[in-house]
Amino acid sequence: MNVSLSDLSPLLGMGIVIATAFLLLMYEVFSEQADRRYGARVAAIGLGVAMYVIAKDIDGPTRALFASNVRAAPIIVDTFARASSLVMMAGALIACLLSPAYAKNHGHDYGEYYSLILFAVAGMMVMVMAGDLFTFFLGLETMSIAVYALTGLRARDPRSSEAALKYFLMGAFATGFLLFGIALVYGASSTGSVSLSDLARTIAAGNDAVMARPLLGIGLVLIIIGFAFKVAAVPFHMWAPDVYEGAPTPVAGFMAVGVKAAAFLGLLRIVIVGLAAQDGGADEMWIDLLSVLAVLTIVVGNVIAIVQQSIKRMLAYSSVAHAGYAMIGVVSAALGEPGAGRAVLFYLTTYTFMTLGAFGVLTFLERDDGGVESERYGAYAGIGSKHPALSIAMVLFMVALAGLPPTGGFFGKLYIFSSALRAGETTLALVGVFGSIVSVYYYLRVIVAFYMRDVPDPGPTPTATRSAELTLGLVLSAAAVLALGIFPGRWLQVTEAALQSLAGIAY
Amino acid sequence: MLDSAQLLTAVVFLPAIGAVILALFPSGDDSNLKGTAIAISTATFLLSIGLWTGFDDARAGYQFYDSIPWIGAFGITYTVGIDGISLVLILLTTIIVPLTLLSAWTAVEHRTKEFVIAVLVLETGMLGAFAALDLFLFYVFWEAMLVPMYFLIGIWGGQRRVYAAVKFFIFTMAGSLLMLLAILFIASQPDGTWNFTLSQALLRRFDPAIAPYLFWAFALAFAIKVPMFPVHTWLPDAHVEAPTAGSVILAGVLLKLGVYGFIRFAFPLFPDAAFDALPILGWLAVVGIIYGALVAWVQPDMKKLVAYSSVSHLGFCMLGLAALTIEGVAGAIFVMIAHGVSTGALFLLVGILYERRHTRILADYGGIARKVPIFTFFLVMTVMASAGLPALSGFPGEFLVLLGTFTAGAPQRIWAIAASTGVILAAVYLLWMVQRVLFGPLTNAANEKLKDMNFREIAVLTPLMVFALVLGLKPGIVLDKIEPAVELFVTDLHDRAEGQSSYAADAGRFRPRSVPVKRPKTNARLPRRLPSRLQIPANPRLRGAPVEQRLRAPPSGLVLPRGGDQ
Repeated sequence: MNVSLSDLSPLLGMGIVIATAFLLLMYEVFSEQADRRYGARVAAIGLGVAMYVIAKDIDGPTRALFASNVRAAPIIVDTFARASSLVMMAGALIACLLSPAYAKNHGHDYGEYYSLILFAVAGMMVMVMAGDLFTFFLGLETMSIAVYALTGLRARDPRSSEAALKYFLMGAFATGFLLFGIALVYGASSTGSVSLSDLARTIAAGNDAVMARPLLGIGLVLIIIGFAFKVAAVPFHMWAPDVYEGAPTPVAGFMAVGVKAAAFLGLLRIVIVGLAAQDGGADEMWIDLLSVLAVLTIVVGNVIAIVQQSIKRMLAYSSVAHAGYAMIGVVSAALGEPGAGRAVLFYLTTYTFMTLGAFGVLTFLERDDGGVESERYGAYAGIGSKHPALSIAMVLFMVALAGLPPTGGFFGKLYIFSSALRAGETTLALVGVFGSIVSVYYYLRVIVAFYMRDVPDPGPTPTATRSAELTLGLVLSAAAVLALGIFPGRWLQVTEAALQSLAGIAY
Repeated sequence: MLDSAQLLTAVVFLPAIGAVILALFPSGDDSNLKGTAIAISTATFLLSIGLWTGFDDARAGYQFYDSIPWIGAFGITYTVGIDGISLVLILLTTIIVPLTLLSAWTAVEHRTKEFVIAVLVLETGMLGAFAALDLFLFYVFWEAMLVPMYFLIGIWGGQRRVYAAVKFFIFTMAGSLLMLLAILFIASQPDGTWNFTLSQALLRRFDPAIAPYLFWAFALAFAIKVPMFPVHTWLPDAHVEAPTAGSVILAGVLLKLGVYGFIRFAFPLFPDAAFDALPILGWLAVVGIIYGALVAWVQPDMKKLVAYSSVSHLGFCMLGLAALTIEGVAGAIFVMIAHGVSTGALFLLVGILYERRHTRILADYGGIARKVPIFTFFLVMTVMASAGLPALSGFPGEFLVLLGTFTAGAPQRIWAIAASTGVILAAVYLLWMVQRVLFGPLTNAANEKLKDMNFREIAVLTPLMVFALVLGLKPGIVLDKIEPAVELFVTDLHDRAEGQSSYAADAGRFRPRSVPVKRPKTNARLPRRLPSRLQIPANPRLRGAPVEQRLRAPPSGLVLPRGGDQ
């Protein structure tokens, strides 16, 4: 097949990201005394330009790459792919902005850092554009390998090495599940293809060959398990707290939002395009499995978050719990509720900003106490009066994570729960609500630590790291959290258009 | 000038705008913060007088109505409007808040900026909740009150402030999230669209199998806020630990939002389920009245005593509501106002003592009347008002509630008789407190040098005393404003539940009697009967039409949106 350069124009955004990554990498190679202070800015500008290119064309037509027919294309650039890319790029952008402060605090200065983030973003973009399961897998691996390296960058810190190894082994394990699942689905397919449209056609036609339906059912369950590892759904969440704790804080934030968003949005495309035509047969085990995982994830994530003594670990479990809320949306989407897909996209958008904001505040306050980062609640006593603006931002992020109006977190949860109600999943909505009630307790604990605890004697006060980039990152996150709560109109339109574009290519 | 629709919005958001301005004040210099905050809240009060004077007493529907689209994709609008019930509660709020800020002039010394911002944001939350006619908007304001109140308790509170603040937050949040699910259920229209406006929600009828769950989801959220027995346990903790200013706002306004929620949302949205729930609500109210009074009696701590007296008084509000007669509901609303004034004053007085002696234990006082004559005057007067002495604010409301309950029917008569013991018990525990604090021999030497109230403290309490007196002597001031709205509320509810509710069906005992609300003789403005356009069903076309069809017609008194969001 001939591919001319103009055929690749829909991928301009991704091209900019990759070009920026190579630029940073080459600079590292060819410059004598690398001055890395500009890495974050170059990466942020690259991401910003790429986001602008994508956002400008967000409502553009659906484009199929490397194929004449959108149903056979391995890469599909539609509004859904563009909107999803924007979410993940926004996450990466803020993570880049948070990084210089962390680097300064911890002597964490590596040239390949920003390139790895950008490569991970490119992989994520492939995941949400994937028109078949193999392309999805390629994107997932591109992302994962970059993130494994990011986790382990602080090679001299044993916790970072532990985190990297744990994440890598678990990730490899998950990959195995996923790949085997894809193989089984391939085997069940009557056309011998893994394209999502063919999958939908197979299901609709009802391939009655012996073993076809069980193969499909088991294959999908394995795919869901692989996916559950990636989003740290219970009971496949064990790695998350250790990895978040060991990884550099901005990377932990990026993993919590970017990886999760990519996995969810990629899955959403698979569910809506490939699996929408299911008719309630035995091959729908995966929906039940997903419901059970959602309930477990919400319950366990929230309950364990309560007893955490470190804010970073609490945020790790909170991100587990939030994966559960998003899974409610995916289940509702799988049951055919048209609003659910939009809800997931919107929810992940707000989740990106509020979680990265919280990690950003931690980055700002983190210090080295003889090599140990102090993230315990008690260490933050008195911050409220010492850093008023920063503390208000933290209150905003916590309130948003807890799901209170007028923040985006509230609107996201509202959207998810309402789609669950409409899909008839009242139980899931109730579980989500009870989870949110429990979560209020541990989010409030952060506010208690910041504002309501008596300040211990002069003691070591957290030294804040002044950094223009970090301030910008926090301001952007806070503004986005508020804007998505008070004026969500424009982004709601985008999510609607995004899901319509998906429905347009669904079988 | 503002037109009438914008006036309400201005009243609601002025405190929040003030809070933003205060946030921009340079940090470090706290000298102007309280003064500016008081000026902002006083300006809000002055604006709200415009609502009072511009309000047409004869109309039962919503006035100062405004509706603009907000989040179109979800059918969420910014819809506000007030009837007489919201009007008096809004005025109560705008009066209480500046007085509260003034009372905290010396009590709050650290983190002044956060304090005044929290109070002003809280004021916007309360005013917005009273004005909102869109379920989403109401929920936003309802939750917006939570965070500032949490900070008020958690930062400026007493020893166990963190426990009390978190308990307050989680109790309220637990109730309101279930309400959120119910709101989503209501707002999701059969045709797949969304509409959160109250007027649209009132037109819908819900499956009788589901309506009770929806009703109780609302009722739980509101019952926690009221607080009704047995979900009242957060209140004593919150009150005891909260700073005086927090307690005053909590008791004065915040609790009323629970009762208001029943009147505005839970009852009208689910009339049948509400009728079925009346016996439960009534009995819980009676238990709350007596239980609150008995527990208040044995409290060694003054603030806890006042806190439990709130449980008892709010029980009267819920009792009047559960009777569902015009007198009962009017009385309930009157009790809310009177309780806001008298309990607000009680908390202020306890705070004045606490500021001087740093103890609230009754036994630490005694015989201080001669040392602090002005304080004695105010405390005795407030206690009389709170205990329901005729000619003071406590009397008309409780009288109307008991009257309305007694005349509602046979089972309600038992409630009324049981509840009337609450009135006696209130006199007992309040007078006992007065006696133990003020009179008798001066036993504690530390009280020898107790300073009497200063000018500022007198200035805070005098308006409240004036209100207590005026409300007692001339209850028509409030009753005239609320009467059309109350009558519409009660008759509309009975009308819509007619033939639907097992209660309404098996006897006419829940029908409102034709006993008119007691009204000052001088008032000749209101016709004896309501103007015909307020009769229900108002649409002559629908008179005699099948119940189902009538239920689909909007109650005429309710102003439906002007815009095309239907």
